[in-house]
Amino acid sequence: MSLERRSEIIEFLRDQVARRTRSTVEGINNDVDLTDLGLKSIDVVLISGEVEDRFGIDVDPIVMFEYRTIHAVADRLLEVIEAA
Amino acid sequence: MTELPNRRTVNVSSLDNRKHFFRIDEFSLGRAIIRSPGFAPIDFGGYLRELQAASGRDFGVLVHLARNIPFFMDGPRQLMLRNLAAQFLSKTRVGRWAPVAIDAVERQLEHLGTLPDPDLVRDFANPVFQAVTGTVLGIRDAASPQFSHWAARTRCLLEPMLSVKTIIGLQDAIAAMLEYIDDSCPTDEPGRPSFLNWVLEQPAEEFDRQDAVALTAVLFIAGQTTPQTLCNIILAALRGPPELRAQLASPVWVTKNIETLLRLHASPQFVDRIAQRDQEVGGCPFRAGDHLHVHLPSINRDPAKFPDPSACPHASATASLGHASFGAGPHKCPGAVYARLLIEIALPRLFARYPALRLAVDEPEWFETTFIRTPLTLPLHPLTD
Repeated sequence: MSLERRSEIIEFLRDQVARRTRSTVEGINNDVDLTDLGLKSIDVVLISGEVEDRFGIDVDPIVMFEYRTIHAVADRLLEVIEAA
Repeated sequence: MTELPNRRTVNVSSLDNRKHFFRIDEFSLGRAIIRSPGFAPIDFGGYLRELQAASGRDFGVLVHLARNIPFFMDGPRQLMLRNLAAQFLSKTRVGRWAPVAIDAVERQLEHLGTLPDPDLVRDFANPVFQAVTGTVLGIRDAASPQFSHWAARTRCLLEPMLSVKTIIGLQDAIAAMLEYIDDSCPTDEPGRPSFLNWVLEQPAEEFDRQDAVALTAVLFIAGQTTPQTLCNIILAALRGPPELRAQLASPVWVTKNIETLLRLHASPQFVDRIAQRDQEVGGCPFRAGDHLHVHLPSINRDPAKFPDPSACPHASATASLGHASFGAGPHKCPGAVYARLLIEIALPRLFARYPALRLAVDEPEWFETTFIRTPLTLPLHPLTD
């Protein structure tokens, strides 16, 4: 269940990052710093909002900044979702 | 400088186009940056408009409010707004409100002594500030539970990277506050108009009633740093040497040392600026777009400016002249005189009335934001005269 949910979160984040950076999902590396993927602070705020709506949790945009990569952010979000 | 408890510092700008982010801890450099027209405040209105366009959400209330926040602006409108506030909050005008402040403080001190679980934030600093400031600004019953609730929700206004949900909640609180202020219809005493009534009579370009209401709300929201600073001073006193309490009970001593108290205990922690062009300040090169995060507690304790910053800090009346707690230059806080008045009235009366104040906890709960440092609560043992 956790593995499936984690994959779902990662796929969602990749899709959101691709939309905000106007790039392809295939070109996104899950272990690269979000700033190197081209995200700005406003993008982080918007993506966090989408995560909140999609998964029904409260997300502080700071989380995405503090955890830096898609994999790390996904792991943190999984913890929040499973604790909710 | 020791890290303060429960405080987050966010390097937001490292996410934006790889611009540089600098934390400034030195007084001369910090003050030069704050005063310089080559560095501008963060464009809060521009950010909200961008967020609105990208999210599809309606942030119109906040966008309009931002148009009346001089702290986040530059240019002619900023000067106009600031001058309106500074003119009303001048020393002469502010002095007329002293009886209102004295009355509010004494009534609240009386009430404090009847409570089984008094809290200096909930039961003294905040209600005094809200009652007095509401009267001064023309907001009816600003100490009511409803207005207090909205006011508390606005304290995150300066925080970077608020979630969309939080911004929506913030906007809801501010919309309610604005409607309440608009309906206040203050009745003023002759010769002592409230801010809302006064500012509506002033000639000002592109400034209608809704702008006047917004500016009134902005001054209230920003003014909340005054009770926060008051609580920081009180906490320092409760933890400090016994002689400090005796000194704080003296109106003469408090007035003489007010600048040191403000230098060491003001609640604002940072002033942020964005470099508007490539430039050098104090020998430091900056590029256009660089984000400067001036740490006020550090520059206010810089030994190069304030010798012996920790040695007998409250000894000298002139030791703290030129501190940065109210900022500097065109964006200097227009409420500085008012803040001093409230603190000079409240502090000595509190410690004269209750010299044996004792905290009921070892460590208070802290208000946790990037830009503000203040205890959320200051619970006391029951008071005796």
